[in-house]
Amino acid sequence: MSKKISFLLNKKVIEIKVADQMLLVDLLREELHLTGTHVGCAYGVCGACTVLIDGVAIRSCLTFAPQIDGAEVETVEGLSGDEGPSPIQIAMSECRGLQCGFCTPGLLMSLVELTRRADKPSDHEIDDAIEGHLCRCTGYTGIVDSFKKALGDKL
Amino acid sequence: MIELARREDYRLLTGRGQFVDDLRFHGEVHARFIRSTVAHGVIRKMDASDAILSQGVLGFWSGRDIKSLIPPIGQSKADGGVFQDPLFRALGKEAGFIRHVERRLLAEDKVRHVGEAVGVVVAENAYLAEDAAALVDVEIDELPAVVDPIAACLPTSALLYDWPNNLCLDLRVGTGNIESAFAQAQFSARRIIHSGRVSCVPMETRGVVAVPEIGRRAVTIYSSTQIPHMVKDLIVESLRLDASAVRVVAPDVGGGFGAKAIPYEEEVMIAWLSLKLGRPVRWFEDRFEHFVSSINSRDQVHDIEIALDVDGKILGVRDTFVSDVGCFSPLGVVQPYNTAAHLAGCYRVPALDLHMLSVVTNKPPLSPYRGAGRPEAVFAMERILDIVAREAGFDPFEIRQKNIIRKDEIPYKVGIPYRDGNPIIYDTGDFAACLDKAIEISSEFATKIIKSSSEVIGRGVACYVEGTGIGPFESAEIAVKEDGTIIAATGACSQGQSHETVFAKLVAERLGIEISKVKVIGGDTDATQYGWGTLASRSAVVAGSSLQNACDKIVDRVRRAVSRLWEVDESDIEFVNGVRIKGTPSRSLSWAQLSYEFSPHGQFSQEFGVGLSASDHFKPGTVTFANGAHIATVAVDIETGLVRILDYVVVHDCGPLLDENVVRGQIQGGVAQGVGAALYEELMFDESGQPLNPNLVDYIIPTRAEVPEVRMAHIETRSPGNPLGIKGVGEAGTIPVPAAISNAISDALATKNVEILRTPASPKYILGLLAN
Repeated sequence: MSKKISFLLNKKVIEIKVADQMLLVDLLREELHLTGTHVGCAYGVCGACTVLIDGVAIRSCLTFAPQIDGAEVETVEGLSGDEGPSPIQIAMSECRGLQCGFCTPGLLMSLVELTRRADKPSDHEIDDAIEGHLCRCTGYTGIVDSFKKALGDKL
Repeated sequence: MIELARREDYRLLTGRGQFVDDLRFHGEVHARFIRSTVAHGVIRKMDASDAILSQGVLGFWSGRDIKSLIPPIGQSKADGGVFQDPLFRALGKEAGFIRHVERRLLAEDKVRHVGEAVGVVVAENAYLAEDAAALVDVEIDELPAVVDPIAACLPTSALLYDWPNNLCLDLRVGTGNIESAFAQAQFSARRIIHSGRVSCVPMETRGVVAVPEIGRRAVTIYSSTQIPHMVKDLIVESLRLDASAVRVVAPDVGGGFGAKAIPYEEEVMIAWLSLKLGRPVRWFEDRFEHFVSSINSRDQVHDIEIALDVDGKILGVRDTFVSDVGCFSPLGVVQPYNTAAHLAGCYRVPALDLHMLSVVTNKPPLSPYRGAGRPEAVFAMERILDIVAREAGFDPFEIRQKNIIRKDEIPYKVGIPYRDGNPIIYDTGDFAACLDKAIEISSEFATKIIKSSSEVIGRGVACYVEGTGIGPFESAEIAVKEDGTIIAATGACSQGQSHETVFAKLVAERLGIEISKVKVIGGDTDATQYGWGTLASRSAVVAGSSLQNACDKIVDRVRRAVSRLWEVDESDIEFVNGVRIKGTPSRSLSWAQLSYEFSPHGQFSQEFGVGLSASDHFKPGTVTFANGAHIATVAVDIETGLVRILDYVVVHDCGPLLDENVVRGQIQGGVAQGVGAALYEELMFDESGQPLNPNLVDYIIPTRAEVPEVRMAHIETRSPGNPLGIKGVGEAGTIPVPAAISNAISDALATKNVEILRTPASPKYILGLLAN
């Protein structure tokens, strides 16, 4: 069975027919060719596939595509515009928050969520946001520094 | 365009990275492997009739279907063959034997581990392929599974292969007189010490896309690999293709750590399927497959014994160790021999007697993972040293300072060969300085520790040496393009090591050009004819030296041409954004202008030849030794068995730093993997060979909460072994971590007579020891 859904993706309206069992991550990657969102485990542990749905960081590998009908979805591709990477992306680079870069898009989405939600986030809240993501390269300290730099005045 | 801190960051941060599974090709189809659910058995029946009729399926192939079409995979260059012969020559015939396994792309009759591929289905998309694969009916008659490596050595054990026993390596190496060392010993200790079985777990699993060429039997393979040239060699050989008909590209690769450092069956299979079907074929390993069909690592049991004299000086070490290599060991001698070669470590050990045994069992294959036999060696040696010191009444730091090789003893001969057949010579380093500095930094750690009433505090140290920058060679090809851009291609590809940044910086400095003008290409067999790959802490050393030498060849050529045609002394020529004459800035040429002068239209090409390019293939004489010391301070909760790392100090020597940020990242990330192996990570199997935790829920890799911020210092001693004077650093962070942490836990629990003798030191293990 399939269903026609419409949703806002990185501020653009998308209307598409999707199969009932299609996962959001596959809709993004295979149908809409936004391959920045990655699959590291496909069962919600690693966090590489994290996107924002109505502003909340969600695992797109555990979300069926029909569930986002009427929602707003944001992916890593929506973070930068013609002017180039956003300040949080630049912070991630400056603080060496990435090496291979595979887990990075998911982390960026959790960082975006935190920057919007947080009013003076504590170290504990920052750690909490990062703990939902597995990174095998950096040992996390560069990621923590990136988050703090990106949060800047909010800290 | 905004310049970010690393050249690779723009695309990776904006979601435009090009990992294998991100590539899209017109008309592509998807492969799904059917894998054995039984550890040891004989395939009785395989019925794919429902699968073939399933929607969107293009075909199904079993091992028997391809048997006459694709020969087995023999010993390739990648399996250590290049170094194996020199090593066995150096050790002599009596040293022992090695057995190799012929691998089939798909099992034909017998299966030897859960996860072994028995068939493959191809369909129009990944969902249909997975659905179809589930419809393949495979019936396997189970045989007794060989699971325990020690029991596998008994004459009663079931056998995996048509061999007299399950041994695939039995090798001895040593130096000095071990009998007299133990006869003279004032103190000695002997323990069984086990490094548990782990999986590499790069965040990107493996993946392959093969794109056939139209009208020619040729194929381009995009693979998430550390060794594109070796993958190419294997595909050329297995599919009997012309060498120029196969191109292998490693695009963005999401971590490797050893998991992607052997050529795999799937790479050959996907290439064959694409040629067979005439369509691009895609395969992306899922996480379960990563645990059971990518290589596992570590898994060594040591029976180690150490002898000390009355002053605490080491007289000798005797060690018999068994590696559980699973169904086979793709790199044969590499991991066990690395353990042997690094066992003596930073210390004077006049007598060594090391006996390596590798045993096949019904588990996934075993091959080196970051550290490659060294973490196992350091864990065994540094634990037994701590244990004997404690028993004899020596302070653990003091016993190390007593035995550590001093700077004035360098170069130091260990007395046994390295795995390339050359004698092990510690060619560089100040081991004692690293240890002393680590003690100094660790001592600065705040003594006021906030701890719960059930926690006890301990401190542990571990030192290591690491042979880095092994050969046989790496390639560099540098070309100056018409716009002055420098293309620097090398066979060393990146899986996150920042090659595009570090190598661009190296080339830019050498040629006197802005870093933004240098474009680095790694891992494309069409960009460099020869190549070895990124593994074994070697790329900066070997590829870096090749790149530097190639730059020097270009500089020399320009210098000679300018000197002759402009009639100036060579010493008056300098390279700043091109070439210029000292003191006469008006007499200069940019790299773009130089490129023109060396073109068929230019002035320089008539006498000095057309084209401004150079290649180099640096061949190191042997490895060059990095070293260091790690000190962990931990809190152990005696009620829960949980370990908190309170402080972690690394002092290491990889020579002059090419890029401090990259080195720091390698150390910090390496320590994180060491923490995982020390405390959490172990791939477990039941008695029938079923993996018990092949997923990221039950196989625990460290998150932010478990990894300490490493306090580190660099000591920079130049290496005499390469033009850059450097040593590798990719594995340094990982190697001594399980030893340092286990020593710290054992220190914390010393009054309770607890000794950590295995990794991981899980809460369950620690509570078990406390209960006894």
